[in-house]
Amino acid sequence: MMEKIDKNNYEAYFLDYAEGNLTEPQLLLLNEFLKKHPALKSELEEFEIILLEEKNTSSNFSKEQLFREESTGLTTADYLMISEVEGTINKTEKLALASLVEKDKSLLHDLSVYHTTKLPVNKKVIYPAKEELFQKETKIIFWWRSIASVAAAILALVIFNLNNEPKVYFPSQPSFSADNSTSDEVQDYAFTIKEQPSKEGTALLIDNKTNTIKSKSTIEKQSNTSLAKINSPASTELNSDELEKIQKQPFETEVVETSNPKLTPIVQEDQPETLAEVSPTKTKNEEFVTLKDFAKQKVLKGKTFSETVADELAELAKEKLDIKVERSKKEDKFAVNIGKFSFSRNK
Amino acid sequence: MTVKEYNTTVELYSDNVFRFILKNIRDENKAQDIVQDSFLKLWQKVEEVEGEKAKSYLFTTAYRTMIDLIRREKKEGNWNEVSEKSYAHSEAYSDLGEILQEALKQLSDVQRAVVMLRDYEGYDYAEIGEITNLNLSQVKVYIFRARKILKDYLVSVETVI
Repeated sequence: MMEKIDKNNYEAYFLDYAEGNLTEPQLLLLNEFLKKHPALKSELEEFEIILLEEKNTSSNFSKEQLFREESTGLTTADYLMISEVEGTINKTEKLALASLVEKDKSLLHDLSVYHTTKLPVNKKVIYPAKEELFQKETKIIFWWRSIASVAAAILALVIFNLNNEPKVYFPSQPSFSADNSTSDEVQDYAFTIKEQPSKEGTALLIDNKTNTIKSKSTIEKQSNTSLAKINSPASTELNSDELEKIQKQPFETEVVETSNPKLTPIVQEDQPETLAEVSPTKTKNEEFVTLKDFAKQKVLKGKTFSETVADELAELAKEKLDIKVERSKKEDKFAVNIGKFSFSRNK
Repeated sequence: MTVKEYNTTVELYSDNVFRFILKNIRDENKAQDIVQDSFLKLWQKVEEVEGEKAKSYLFTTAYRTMIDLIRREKKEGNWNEVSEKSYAHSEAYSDLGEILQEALKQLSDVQRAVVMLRDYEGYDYAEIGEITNLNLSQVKVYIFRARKILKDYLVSVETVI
């Protein structure tokens, strides 16, 4: 039997009240005591809460909560809840978690807290110096183009150098040709030095012994009259001084290009008397297409060699390419412009 | 990887990398330096790195640079000072986000990094392993323990409030 309730023993009363151990007379005494000391009411409520929590804990106790998951060392409940939050939980684990929550409702609260551990992305945080990180696309392309341009320029120079190597002439001695196209009655001969080998069917013959030039066209359409005139010593003979003068003239390296089909090369021959034996050959000019003419017509297609090379290199380098060739008697100038690069060479 | 792909990477991921580093080290200038350094390294290897691997390369580089910085500063003693200063404001919570930021300070550097890679960038464990040079189970353990620490911290704050 408890003593009468007072300030020294009221806590024991409160505890018995919370545990439901007070009898009705004791409850009446407790009520009277609380009326006298209302400040202690709150203390009694705390006793009730503590007791309620203890009851809950004891009733929901499960030894399953003590097990630890092997890989993480966490309790089974924590492991399963985190797996749920992580999205890695499987069906078996889901059932196990549901079973645990069934036994202990407080795990629902823990689960909701676990869900809040997912970090929210703050999109407002922006890198302030992004513009500095961008790279210009032209940078790499520029270098590639530059490399291509340089390669093209070097190639062009190599080609030009090859092109200007000393030519091998055949025949080795310069030959002469005469333009007798202006008139059937040939009176003057404009002599130019030819680089190309002579063709069959010569028109002029040089007599080394007499230092005279005799001409005879083998072109089919040439009239007998003109031939007779050409063969006339009065009209064709050159004295030795004139011949020497002609020979001392500087060589024209540029190839004579003419559309006149009557312009024919000549050869030197030691036997001038063979002239009478040479019979006109029935040939057409088309049959005497030289390799150079063939290249011009079929390969270069009307362009010069420089223009063709320039076009090819321009396409290779993807840059505007300009090649200029200036030829003069003193020197030849080559200028190559590819994009930002330019080269020039005198030779 | 083309220049265009590189620039797309800048557009898409520079903010993400910056955010990731800034949340870890909480120093804007240093975070900027790390981001710049990471993109510079990516640019230097632009012809070797494939376009689809660019993000991973970037985060890996940034993470390792950051870890080096943290270690260096810890060695020099700067890190603890920063940490204590930031801790002084730990009671001034305004919302869950701030509480979480405080909670993150309870984590180790590696734990914090792996959780951020997981939550901010949505990387799976294998990808996080590649970035942080950890194996799959290590990543999992780090993340699970980090979540437990965060949860305990949130519950403790909840109790205080």
